[in-house]
Amino acid sequence: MESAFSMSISKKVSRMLQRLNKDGWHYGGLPGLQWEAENARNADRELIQEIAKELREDVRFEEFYHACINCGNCTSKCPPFRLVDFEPRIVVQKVMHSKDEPELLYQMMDQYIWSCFQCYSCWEVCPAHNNPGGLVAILKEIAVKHGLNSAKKALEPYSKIVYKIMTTGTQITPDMHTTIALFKDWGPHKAELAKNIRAERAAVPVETMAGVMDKSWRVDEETMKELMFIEKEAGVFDAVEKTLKDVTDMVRDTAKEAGVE
Amino acid sequence: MMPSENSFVQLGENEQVEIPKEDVKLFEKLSTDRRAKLAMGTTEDYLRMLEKMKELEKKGEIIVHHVEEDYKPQVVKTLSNREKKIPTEELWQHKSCGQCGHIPGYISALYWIMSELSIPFVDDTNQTSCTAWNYYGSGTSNSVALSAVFLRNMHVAWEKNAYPLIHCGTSYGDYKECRFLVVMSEDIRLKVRSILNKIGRDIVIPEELVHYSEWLHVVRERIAERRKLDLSQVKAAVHPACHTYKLMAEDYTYDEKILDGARPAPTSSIILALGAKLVDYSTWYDCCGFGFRHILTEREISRSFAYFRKIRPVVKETGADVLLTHDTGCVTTLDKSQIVALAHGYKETVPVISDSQFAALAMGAHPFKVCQLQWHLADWKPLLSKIGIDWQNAEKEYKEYIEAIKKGMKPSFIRSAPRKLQPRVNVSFAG
Repeated sequence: MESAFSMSISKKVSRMLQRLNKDGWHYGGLPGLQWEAENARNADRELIQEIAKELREDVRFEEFYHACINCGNCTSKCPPFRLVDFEPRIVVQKVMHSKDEPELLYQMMDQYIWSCFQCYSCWEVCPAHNNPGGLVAILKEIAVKHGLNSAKKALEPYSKIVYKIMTTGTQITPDMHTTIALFKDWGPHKAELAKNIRAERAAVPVETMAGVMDKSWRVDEETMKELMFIEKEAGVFDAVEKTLKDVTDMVRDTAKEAGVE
Repeated sequence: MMPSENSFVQLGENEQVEIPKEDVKLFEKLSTDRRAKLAMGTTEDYLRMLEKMKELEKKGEIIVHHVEEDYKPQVVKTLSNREKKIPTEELWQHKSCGQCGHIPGYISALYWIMSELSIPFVDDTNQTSCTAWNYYGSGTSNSVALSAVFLRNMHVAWEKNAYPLIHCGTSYGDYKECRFLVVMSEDIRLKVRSILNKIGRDIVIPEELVHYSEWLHVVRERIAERRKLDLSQVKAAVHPACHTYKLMAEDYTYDEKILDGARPAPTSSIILALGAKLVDYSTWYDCCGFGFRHILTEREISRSFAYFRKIRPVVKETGADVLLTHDTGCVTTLDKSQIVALAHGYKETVPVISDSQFAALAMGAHPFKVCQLQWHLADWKPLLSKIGIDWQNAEKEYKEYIEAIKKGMKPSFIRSAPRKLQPRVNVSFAG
């Protein structure tokens, strides 16, 4: 009779064998991402296929992905690589092999990609002119569109920013600086500035900015209406809905009030 | 034959190569050429896109907003040695949401310089940001929306008969990417046109996308002529913003006379023109640590990167009096990230301001009323003292000014010189 121990070993081996591709490459051996493999295995297969399809059909894909020789130039210049578990090389490798194994993409989208700074240092140094940062940008869009948990978690803390940009076209507005709460680590000077922020803002010698607290500058009503119309027509409202339901409801209300039908 | 003197070129944090002194410049130049060549596919694609733009214009599919003589252009070279026209007058200010929101001295200094140089410009309320924060940061936009927002803003500039000058590095990078997509993808073009038509607009694409740092670069001699302060003892380091020269790398300004064309010319060039000392550090290529989402919700990462990869090397390697940059996120991250490190006992600190603020200070602008240094956290007092500004007195003046504002006084707004061009009216589209 087989012992529990040997059963567990055989399960592990069979799982590892499942992860071998036709060239005999065991992806779990790449650094990073192993901890996300389980989520990918448990994910909805149709969703996994759909995500891979959407990535490859995106108009930017052909421009952003060519072929990867695994040289690691991108990683050597990557800022988050110095601090967290993230490598642009892994991103491009996973994209490359996702044609046969689409779960590799899903695996990455479950948190990993959200570490990218989008600085594009990787793009500039890639000998094959891949754009790992660009691929991450597309994957983030897809994660938001499908309401993946990673997207919900990543975006929840700054839903106010998403709302401000979608409705006014501006962000990080002076009214966010009226208390020290949001920016405690900016020190006592910031606290002093927060106390006087209305007077300081009124004193800015640029007419379009002076005294404006809820936007970065005075934006015409018609301008904001045009912006929300663009976003609605381009499918942004629908795309954001699954990840930020409350924000989307508020944006829709604001758009409706502005006369965007 | 005399043995030649050797120099060390820093390759990494702990890596140096020893080569003859006369070869140092050549070595750095070759590194850049190699980089440009490695990215040749991207560069070639970009140049092909510019050709395609001309074809679409010829067919009447799009309107190209040319850098006409009325805009008094100056020619610069880009990474691929392409000639790029930079307009110097009649500029439509494409403001930055981050700058205007919480580092307003960035913009007020730029407007003040233009006003001093009698340059006409348009500061419009019919402008949105590029909204690309919701692209790079959160994935809550898409190519069609971003391209339509880009073209909406560009259409407004064209209607006003003023040439768009983009203040934000990210907007500049995003717009280059959007322009590429609109020109090279018929699908995107059709979708975007359909949306724009519904709001009474159409596809107007600027012949050149121009970042304000490129404008400062081409007018630097005029600025230098008006310099009032002696900057010869000031050591200034530069942080070039990633989205200006790494995103669609071909399009940014390079100049053989500035750092031998081995690195982006803007900002370094204004330091040199103003007579300050340009100092170099090993991590110049690194980003600031901004990361969009990270600066807001994962600040520890941004802060650590900014302090340990940028601020400390800058101070330890160069003893710089100031760190200059040309983008919203970079000023914010590099400036605000110093406070926690100082609280933990680290000693290195350096003021971080934009090149426009630095130039305005040199021209005699008020450090608080115009340059708005009170919004910056890292200590700028030693810099002001070094360049001969009596900051105590200026601060006293500013406090009185703020008290008057609190009582209802209006600030004296910076105005454009009178415009020479009239807005376009009754526009019809061929598209």
